[in-house]
Amino acid sequence: MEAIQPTADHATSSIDVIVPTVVGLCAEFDDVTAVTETAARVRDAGFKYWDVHSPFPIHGIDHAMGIRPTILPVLVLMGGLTGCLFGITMTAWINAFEFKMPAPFNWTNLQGYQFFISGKPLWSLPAFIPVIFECTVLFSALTTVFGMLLLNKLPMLYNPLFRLKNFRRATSDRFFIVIDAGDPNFDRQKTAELLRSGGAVSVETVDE
Amino acid sequence: MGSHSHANRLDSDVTRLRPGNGGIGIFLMLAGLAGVIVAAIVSYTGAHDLVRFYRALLFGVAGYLAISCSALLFVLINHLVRAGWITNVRRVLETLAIQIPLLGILLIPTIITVAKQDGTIYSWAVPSDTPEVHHGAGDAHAATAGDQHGAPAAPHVDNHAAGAKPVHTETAKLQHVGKTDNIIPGYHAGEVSLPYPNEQVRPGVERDFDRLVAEKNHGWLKPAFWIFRIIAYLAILTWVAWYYRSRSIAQDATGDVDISSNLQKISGPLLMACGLIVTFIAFDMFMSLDPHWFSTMYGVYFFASGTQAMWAVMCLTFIILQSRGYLKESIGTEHFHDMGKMLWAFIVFFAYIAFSQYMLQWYANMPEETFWYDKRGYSTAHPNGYTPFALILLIGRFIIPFLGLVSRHVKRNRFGLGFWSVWLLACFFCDIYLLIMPEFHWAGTTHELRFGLPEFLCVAGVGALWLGNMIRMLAANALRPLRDPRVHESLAIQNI
Repeated sequence: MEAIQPTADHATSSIDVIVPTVVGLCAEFDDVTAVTETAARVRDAGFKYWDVHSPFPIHGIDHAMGIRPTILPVLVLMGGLTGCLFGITMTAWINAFEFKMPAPFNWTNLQGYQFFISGKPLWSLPAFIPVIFECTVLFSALTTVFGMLLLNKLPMLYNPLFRLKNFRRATSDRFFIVIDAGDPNFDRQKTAELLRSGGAVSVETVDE
Repeated sequence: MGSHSHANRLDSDVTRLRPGNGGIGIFLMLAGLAGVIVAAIVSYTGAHDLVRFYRALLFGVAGYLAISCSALLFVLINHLVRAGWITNVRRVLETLAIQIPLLGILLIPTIITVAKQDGTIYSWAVPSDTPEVHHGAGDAHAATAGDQHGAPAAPHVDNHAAGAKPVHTETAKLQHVGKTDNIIPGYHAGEVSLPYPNEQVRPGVERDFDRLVAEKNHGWLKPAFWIFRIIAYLAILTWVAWYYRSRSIAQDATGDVDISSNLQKISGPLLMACGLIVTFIAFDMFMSLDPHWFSTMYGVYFFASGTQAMWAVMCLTFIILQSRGYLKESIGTEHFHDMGKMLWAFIVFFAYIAFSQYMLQWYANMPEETFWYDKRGYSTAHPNGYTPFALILLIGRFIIPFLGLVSRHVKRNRFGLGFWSVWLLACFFCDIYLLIMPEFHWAGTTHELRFGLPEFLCVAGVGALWLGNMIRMLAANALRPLRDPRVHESLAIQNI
């Protein structure tokens, strides 16, 4: 898999010297403790656009990175409440009220019916609770999945990090801290120094 | 990774109760015993002889039995799934489980009432002779329905005439009350009248014959068989609880990793056995209070209800222990968060189970099932004294705590967690009250709410005995597993 080569190698044999844009710095670590401690230093240095890559979840990395709690639970609560209301409205409409869709939507021909089932009241809460419950669960689950994808900016099909050969070990036995060049505090020399002082095995630039 | 720093933290962990706390336990036990004895005296001098005490004692024991059985199941589950987080709180769980023999001793009066076969607690325990004529079908309902349709076969078997034994008049009256009231309405009177239940005591009838109960009385609910089963259940659970606790304590001294793997190895089969036993305890001891009613979900209901209360007890125990300076280093906010999650999960699980059982029987609307709910005031058509308790189950035990404990910030806050634990424990005892007490009928009355001094003294007294014995046993050993291989794993947990 040597398909992608750093552009700098070609630049030497080429007439047009392409100066690659540096988009970030990638530091490689071989130890969980070192990466956690360095993450805490990067946090304290005030960086905002950076991330830690690890083959497995690291206990306490959220605190070391200073990540604020996600708003996903709030979204899920909203989704769940919406689902609950949807379930209540739906069961009430299609079982208890002969309500026709009003003017702009009358082409749908949607209409509720009054179903008299088993001698129960038309809108009978205990009988509909399973439906309402399932709607709540469905809406919550969908909000969780799609909210997670949106908040993580997924799907992301390409990332300049994929060019780094060493970075492939992020899925097996190495840990990486990547700092984005767009960060206000980013300085190529000083930031590399910060990462090295934390015990990085190597610090590479990430090119566009 | 950071196991060295953890080890240093653990050095300053206070894992033994200070001397004197064992004395508090023994004092609590004596107070509890005194409470139970006073309950017996109050009951004996009251209108209902010792009958009220026997019933109140069963109610008193039931809640704690549910909690201890659930604790035992969770000890087994914990070993089965190799749970790491639970390790540092497991000793309290083991100590909760080992209270089963104490509760078994407190169940002796209940067992005596069955042995005496006088129907004080269980209406099926009264000896009844199966009539010579069987109506062919093995189905008890079909047979009883046959009785209604004119067959005057229902023989009035008279205890006195049979000369079985001389029966005290007071007992005979109770027998009469117990029997008549528990018959499915309409079965005995030869008339089926809606709405249910039609439970008035018919004067002048010495005893009704109830085929369903009579057949159970000769089968699954034969008193001798029942007593044998209850003793066997409690003996097996006691052995399992003792084995897991004693091995865990042995590991404190030796640090032998083989103990953990051995306990894990046997936990699967034992969990299956104990799960069945707890289900059958629920069926035999509590569901059989009304031998006409049946629900396959009852065992799960008992377990879910007890487990919710068990996590509430666990949360409160560790809040109190930490406020007194114990286990400050080994138990952290993460453990409270995890216990809070279990508590919240069982709010949902209990509601799910309880509602499922209710919804199916409500929807099918079959008289032989719905009368059980009607007795408990679930019906909007016939509310009775128990209706507030039914509402507590829905609103107090599900809707309010569901919203109150849903946030992680509440679960990670000692005050918030403690508040909801106390709240849920109160609701738990309302649930146990609602499960047991509506089955007892008192001469001439139906649906009368009984919560007086004997009931209160029994719940509080058994609670003091149970808690005192727990403190006494906690004081005898370390408060957490000291050398379990997963202590550090438990210490390192993080809730992301």
